[in-house]
Amino acid sequence: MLPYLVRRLLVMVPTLLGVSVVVFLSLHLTPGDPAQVILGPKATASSLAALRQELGLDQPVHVQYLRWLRGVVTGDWGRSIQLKASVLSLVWQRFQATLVLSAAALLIAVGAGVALGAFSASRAGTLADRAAIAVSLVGYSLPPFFLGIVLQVVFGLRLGWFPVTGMLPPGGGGFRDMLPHLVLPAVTLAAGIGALLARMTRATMMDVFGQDHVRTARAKGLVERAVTARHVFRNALLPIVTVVGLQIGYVLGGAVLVEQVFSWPGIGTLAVNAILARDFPLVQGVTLVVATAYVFANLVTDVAYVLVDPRVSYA
Amino acid sequence: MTFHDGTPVNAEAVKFSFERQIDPEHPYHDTGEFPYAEFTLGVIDAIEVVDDLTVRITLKETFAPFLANMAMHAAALVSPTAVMRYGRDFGEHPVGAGPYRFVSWQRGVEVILEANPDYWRGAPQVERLIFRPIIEDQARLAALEAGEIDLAVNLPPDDLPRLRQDPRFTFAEQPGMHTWYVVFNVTKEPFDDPRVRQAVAHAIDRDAIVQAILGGTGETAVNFLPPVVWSYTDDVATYPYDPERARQLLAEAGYPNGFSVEFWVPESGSGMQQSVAMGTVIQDFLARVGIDVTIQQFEWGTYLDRVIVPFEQADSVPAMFEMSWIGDNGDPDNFLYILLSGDQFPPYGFNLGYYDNDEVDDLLRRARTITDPDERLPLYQEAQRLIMADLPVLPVDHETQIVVHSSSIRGFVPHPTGVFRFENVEVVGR
Repeated sequence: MLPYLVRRLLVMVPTLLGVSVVVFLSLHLTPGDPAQVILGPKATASSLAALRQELGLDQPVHVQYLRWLRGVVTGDWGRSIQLKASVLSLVWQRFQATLVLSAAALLIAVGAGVALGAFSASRAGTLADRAAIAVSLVGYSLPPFFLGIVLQVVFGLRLGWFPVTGMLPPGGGGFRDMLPHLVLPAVTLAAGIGALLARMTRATMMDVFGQDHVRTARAKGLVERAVTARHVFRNALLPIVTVVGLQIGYVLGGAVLVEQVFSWPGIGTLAVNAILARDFPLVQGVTLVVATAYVFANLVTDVAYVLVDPRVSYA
Repeated sequence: MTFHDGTPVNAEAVKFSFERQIDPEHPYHDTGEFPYAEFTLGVIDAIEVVDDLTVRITLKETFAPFLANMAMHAAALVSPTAVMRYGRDFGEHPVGAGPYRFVSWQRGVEVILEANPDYWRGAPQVERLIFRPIIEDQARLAALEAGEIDLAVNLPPDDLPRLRQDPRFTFAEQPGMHTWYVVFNVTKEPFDDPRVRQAVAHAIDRDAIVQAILGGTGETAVNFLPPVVWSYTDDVATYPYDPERARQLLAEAGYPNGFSVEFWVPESGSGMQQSVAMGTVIQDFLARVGIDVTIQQFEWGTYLDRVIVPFEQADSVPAMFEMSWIGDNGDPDNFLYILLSGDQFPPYGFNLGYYDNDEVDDLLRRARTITDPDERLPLYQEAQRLIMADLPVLPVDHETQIVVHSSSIRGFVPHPTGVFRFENVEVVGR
């Protein structure tokens, strides 16, 4: 297991390098001059030229890239052009907010999705099963920004149960103050994945229900609940874990939309603004962190297989 | 008068604040970026401290709008002590002398200010101000309706009528120092012919755009200059909606069957209002008189890059594109000279369609060197008449600044420049 982990971690390096090269090139190929965007349409030619020089934008692209790379390795990720702060501290601060949102969303999605799927599978064909399928279909089909606005209007404006924007009340606060702010965005982000998980869980459990070992378990007189829990659910877990792992990418992508809708100060809103402002160092930093998170999530998924399925092992 | 850190506001501070921006050799020049310095203060030749409360500023040339420039952001005074203390980090510890002083800035989350008890006109009533960026229109609206924020700007026009009916909210409105316009690249056929530009003007029902697309959040433009800027006159050639007249003008110009043209539109942008919807409606109006318009959309950063182009590359700029301007200082020079004088082709200025009329240039140049407003007035009015007859740009509307706030807030008055002032605001019944 350990050599496998080391190998996987080493493979991350070229992957991330590749990602950073592609992002760097595509940013520099996009028309739009960062100096012009920063200084606005009223800037004079001399102030534009001065700023370009200060930002190093007058250098050839490969020189700019190598300079950036050297910085990353030594812990200096550069300075955000627009926000005038260290990229590393900005990205880390915002990434934590996204992690909180994503973790909450995954927790809700896995909890609600698997429960709904298991409930559905154990009552296959009944009216309750069909209702559960309908709920998950709706959840899966609703685009997050639309669902977000609906939740804002219903639970924020009409009922007044939850705040509709931000991560903390104006002026700041602690963890407890954050929880009510977390509910609506987390549920919005969870809906799609939860629904997918419900459908996955139902399908795989139905599949396992039909297998020989389940018949044997029933034949030896186990009560149905024990059959479901011990023999069906455990076997159905593997595909579920795979789906959860794959969805981590979706969560990070979906977070961009959900963060916009709820003005959640995460890495998604940071990325969108950085791109619009042609804030090259910041876009690079965001991409690097998100790509790392993505690659890491895949690794965790693979490791989780071992824990769930004794047949899987990595040399 | 003192700055928030106790440093006296005096002539030395004025000299320091200005020279820091315009003199590259100034020891504190590298403590900030000064995009507006050249524009606002560039005409200054020397600053001399006469006594503690008097400075003498010598200009490189007579420049009438200078006093108006002194009310712009770049002319705001900063505490020299604080600049020396924080150096390059001064931007994170700004120290001024205004009614509110800086407390904290959490990027992308909020900026907090608190009342300055020593403000020279008396401490403001509201103790703390929190500014939050809420980028999404719907989210900003929801935050206002949920009572999470007390005041919001740039709300979607479609929601305004509903909010007007709601007693929880009050509207504060101010005619804008703004013009939304279509630029004609006059170096290109067919817009090198004024009759074609006039035909386009007659073909578009601008009142309909203001009502249907903007929900009445603007005022249909009669003149390129907004009515709130002094010297404005409505004694200019006007272009009411008249498709028949448009077709006639096109025929006279040699285009009885119309023509095809590319029209560039930004997806959004500062002052651009509903840029895409407005562009689409213009396309439709022009189709009715035989002008076949192809719209090209760009993201704002890309757009600026493509349309602010030196004269030598005028050919790369399309025949027709959208633009807007928000006045900086209330002086007509800030619209007419900068946007339409032949001296102001990019990269020096913002005459983006390369309009070049010697008579207009002469009037505008003279007007900016005369300090007596009564003498400047007739020059600007004559320039406006010439411009509107020539029509190098088609002004569509002047946006009304609309701020919606909680009815428990009293005394908020929007400022024509879009700056927010809270010193006379009070909160009642809370």
